[in-house]
Amino acid sequence: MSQQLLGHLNFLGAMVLFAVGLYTMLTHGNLIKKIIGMNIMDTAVFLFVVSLGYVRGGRPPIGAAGTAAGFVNPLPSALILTGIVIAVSTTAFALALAIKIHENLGTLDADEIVRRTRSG
Amino acid sequence: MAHGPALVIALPFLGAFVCGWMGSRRIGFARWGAVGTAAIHAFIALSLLSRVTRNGPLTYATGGWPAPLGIEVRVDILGAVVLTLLGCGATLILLFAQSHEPAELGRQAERWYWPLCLTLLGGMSGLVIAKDLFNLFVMAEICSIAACGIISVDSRPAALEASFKYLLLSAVGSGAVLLATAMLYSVTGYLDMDAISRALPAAAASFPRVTMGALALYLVGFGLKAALFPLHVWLPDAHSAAPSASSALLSGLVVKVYVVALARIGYQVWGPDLLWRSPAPYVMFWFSAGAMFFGSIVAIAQRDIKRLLAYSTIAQMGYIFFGLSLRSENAVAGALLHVFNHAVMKVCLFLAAGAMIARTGKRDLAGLSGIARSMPLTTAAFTIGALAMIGVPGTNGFISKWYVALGALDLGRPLYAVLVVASSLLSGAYYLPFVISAYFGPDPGHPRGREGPPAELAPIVILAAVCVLTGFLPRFPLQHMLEVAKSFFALR
Repeated sequence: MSQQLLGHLNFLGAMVLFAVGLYTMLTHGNLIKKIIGMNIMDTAVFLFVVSLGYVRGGRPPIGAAGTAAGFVNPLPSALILTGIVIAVSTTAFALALAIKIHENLGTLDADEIVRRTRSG
Repeated sequence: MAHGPALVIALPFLGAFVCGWMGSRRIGFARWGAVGTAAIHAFIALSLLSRVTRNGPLTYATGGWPAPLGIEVRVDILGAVVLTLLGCGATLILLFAQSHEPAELGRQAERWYWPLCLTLLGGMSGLVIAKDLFNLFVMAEICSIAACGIISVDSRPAALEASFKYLLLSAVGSGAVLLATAMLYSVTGYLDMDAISRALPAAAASFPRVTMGALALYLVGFGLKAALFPLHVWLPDAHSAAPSASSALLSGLVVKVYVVALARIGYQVWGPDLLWRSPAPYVMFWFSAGAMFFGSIVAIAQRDIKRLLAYSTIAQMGYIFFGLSLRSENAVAGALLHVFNHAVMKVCLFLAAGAMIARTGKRDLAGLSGIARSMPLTTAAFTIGALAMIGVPGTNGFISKWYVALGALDLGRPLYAVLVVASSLLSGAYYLPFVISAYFGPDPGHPRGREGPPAELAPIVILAAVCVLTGFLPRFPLQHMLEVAKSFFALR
């Protein structure tokens, strides 16, 4: 059992981080903390995907043709590069919205925002 | 048109860039540029549809690299019909918007509106024809950012709050989708849908928990974005606080493309045999049954016309998921047909509601009573859309609900068909009172004889006509959807 757990340490670590991020996002009232939670959640997924490409003792995937064995898998890293770009733009947009909300309502607390938008 | 599949994605993005660039100098150019781009998109989609129905699915290898190394897009019948829907729908919505939105948004916000709408159109088009799961994720993200953008574009506090909530929940959905994609990649080694679909039976046998987890995450991820019942919390605020044309885009088109993505993953990647060995369809069944009743019951209590329409979307998305979760060709065809039909009627309703709100300045149902006397055509179109929502025979809503109910009978479950009928009756309970008060209610002094300008009236009337036309002659979308459903169940 412990052997099996250690073999999937990357997976378990990612799941724990994902849960931490999701929990932060859904339970914290502060918008900035929600955005931080969103980033932790995204990072969990990115770490998991990048770890999929890892080959123990593998070399960088640059070099001679015909020797496919022994290289780390470059595809997950390439995908996550795109994933990071998307996460950055989502974060930027979320922060921009948070600034606009603060300008308009003078608060970043989710419950307070709901109260102020409903009242006027 | 050999590059049609690439053009339907690239053209809206290019249009978005040009409209954004020209918007600061000549706003009229940006307005009509957006309408024109959508019209060309619709034309390409129609030509793709005619090609695909004649010659079968069209696979396009981007950059000339075939799968599994390259990223392919594939236009099959489902993709082509939905692309046509997106193109034609966006053209009509933008035609309405170019006359309606300048007043609603103001000059500063309007500049950003047209590029955002076109980006959304490009993202949606990419989503429905993506054959690569990572590409699907990227397109879903483009859609969600652009969709949040068109909600909050005019910076009203309510819209900002709704947009923030939507963005965050949609990020949870995207996280789930990406994690699911990574899990599938870890057990199959592919991102291409066809290749995964071939490798999945073996992978599901050796790693049952990983594949099951991936399916669950896809259901949650796309379910969140498509507002499947307990995950719908963002929708009523987002769809009612947005500008009118945005509401039509979001409620009519955006939620639909995620359903198409989920249907593809369920039926084309997993395939019916593997799918029904997992609990996913049963979970979806109960969620969607909940949606049909919850959406309708809450809608009855609404006083704001746009909130009413938003809750009605939750109920109608329930029908779509309900049909997809029944293992019957007729039910799945009915659900996919409802994707098309609900888009037509919901866009018609939201545009009509937008026109009424713009003329009277009132959003509450009581304030709009007697509106039929000053806006007879708009009210007539709204009435047709409402009757189609209820599923009155002679409207398109009847055909799709009929097929979902037929699928339930095929399975030997008449009780499921009763559920569909009962929920339809409930939707009558919130649409009919408004329609009746619009015709016979007291007139609180609406401005007389003030229909919207022709550019706003035309899309509403055309959509209402389509509701009736495809109600009497359902052949165009129906035969395609039956064919798609048949191909879903013929796999493996």
